[in-house]
Amino acid sequence: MIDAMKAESRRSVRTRAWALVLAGALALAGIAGLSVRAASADPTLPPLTPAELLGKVAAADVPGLSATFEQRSDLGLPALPAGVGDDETASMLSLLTGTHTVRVWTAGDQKSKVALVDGATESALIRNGSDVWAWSSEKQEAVHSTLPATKRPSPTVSPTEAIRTLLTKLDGTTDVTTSGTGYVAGRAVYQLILTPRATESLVGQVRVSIDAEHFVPLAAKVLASDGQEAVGVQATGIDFAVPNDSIFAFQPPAGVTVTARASSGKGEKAEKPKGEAPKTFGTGWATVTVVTMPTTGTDQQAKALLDSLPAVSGSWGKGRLLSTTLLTAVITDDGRVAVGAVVPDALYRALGSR
Amino acid sequence: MSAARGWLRLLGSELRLIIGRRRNQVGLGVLFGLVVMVGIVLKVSAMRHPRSPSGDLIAAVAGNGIFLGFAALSIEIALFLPLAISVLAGDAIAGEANQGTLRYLLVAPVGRARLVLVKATSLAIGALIGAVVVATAGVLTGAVLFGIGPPTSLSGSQLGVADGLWRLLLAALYLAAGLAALAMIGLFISTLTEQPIAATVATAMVGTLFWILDSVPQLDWLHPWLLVDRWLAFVDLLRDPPFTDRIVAGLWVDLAYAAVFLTLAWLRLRTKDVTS
Repeated sequence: MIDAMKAESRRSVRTRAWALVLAGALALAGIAGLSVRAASADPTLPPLTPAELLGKVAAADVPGLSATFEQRSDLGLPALPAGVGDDETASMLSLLTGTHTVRVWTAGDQKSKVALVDGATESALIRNGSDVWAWSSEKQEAVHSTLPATKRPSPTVSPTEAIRTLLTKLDGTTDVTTSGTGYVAGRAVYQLILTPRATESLVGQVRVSIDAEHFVPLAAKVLASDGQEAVGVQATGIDFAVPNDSIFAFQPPAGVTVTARASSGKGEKAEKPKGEAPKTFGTGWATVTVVTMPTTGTDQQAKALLDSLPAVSGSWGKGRLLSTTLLTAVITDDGRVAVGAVVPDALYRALGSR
Repeated sequence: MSAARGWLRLLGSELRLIIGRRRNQVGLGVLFGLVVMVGIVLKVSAMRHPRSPSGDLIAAVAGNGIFLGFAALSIEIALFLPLAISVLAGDAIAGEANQGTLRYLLVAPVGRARLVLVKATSLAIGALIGAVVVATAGVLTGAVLFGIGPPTSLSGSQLGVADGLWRLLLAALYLAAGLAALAMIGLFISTLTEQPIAATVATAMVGTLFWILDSVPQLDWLHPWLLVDRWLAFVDLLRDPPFTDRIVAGLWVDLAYAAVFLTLAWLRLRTKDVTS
């Protein structure tokens, strides 16, 4: 009797242990499914110099692919209050914060599709030969334009030559290296690292991950000078099979607004912004742009937003400082705006030397 | 073999009990009626303001009744479906304890592990019935009020009617998985008390709490871990080709929650003193 009870309790202890193990394993599987950042060792790849790597990228011939990219920004911007600006600016601003998902398909160099997946809406740009469609599910609108039939200009310099010139030019401002390997979306990649030489630059590093087999970029990250990732685009899944033709065949559905736009290229950039032409100071990564703003209407909201920024002053005058992890801007009280990916001091210097 | 048959018999009687209960039938009727009401409201507003071009699910209903199925799911998943599943889950153990029938269930040669599994399975089936009824109500109401045609995907391509209905079924199944995971939380809460109302209210509050936390932008680091975070990703099925990344991640989250709370429910029940 007692033996039976003991056996019973032993069995129940064992089943309980099993159940805990099972539940733990399932929960872990769920967590692993969430964060597929496998902590596996970096792949061993034959070493390549920056010139060799870029040469392979230039020579890469990918017949087609379908991929999903995730774009993240953490610029240290304050979360904007809802309702700032109109819909258009709000949707532009929304790209500066948070996470966005983009699906990409290409087949040859004549067919491509990029779709921005956002909540319950989708915006897409589809190119099929000379037809280009822009689709917005939110506005239920399709814009059609036709590309002029131009032949590709045959390059006058060889790609290797061009890359060498590019690297020589970059060398003055940027340290270009290939350093290490890694995995992006489960694929082995080379890392191309650009490090600005200018100490004033807020950009710490730009890292581009390049697929080790097909030599297409799979990720790009901009690290701020404190080493934090400020902006990044990364593939979360990629398939190098040529996608089905139906993906690129866009037929505007019945009942949507269809606009035909004349071939793009001319007449779009005719309108110049009023006010003085922007002046630039410094070179390379430390470039500062100074613009004189046309006196804008007194938008209460914009003014309130501006007033919430910290006030700064110096020999150059007075103004407000907008400081993010990657970009700094000074808006002076006399209507000048200095912008650059630099520390504030460089902006003050540019404003002072007008 | 006989174990499996006994298991099925227990599940059958449990399902008969759930479906036969008058309050559950009324609940399903309310879920259905809400969809009909939304459909009528949309019909009236569509007659007053003929077609304003806007792309959300609700606006798409005016052009095609199939979208009422999707719109119904997106409306009811916020509150009514979780509420309905909370009622079922709250009843599961606490209801039996409250009526004094839990004792008799356990006196019959039914292991506690098997009892929990049967309750969990019947709750999952309940979640499935709820989601499918809402989707069906949407399509039926939409067909009567707006007519049904080939739906337009979010990517701007035309889908077939059968394809549209198939995607709606997948959406209902996906949401049923999420509701089943919520039901496992409810099942665990239901083992903690003998008051079914308390368990129901607590479960519904947990569901609402998830939604509230999910809407606070300052907590965005927490969002991927919340049960409800990817529920609305069912609209990804309306893209062409369907976008499955978020849905697959959502199913993993559902599975993790279900596994943890089902185990907790079982551990709690096997050491619980059943006195009533």
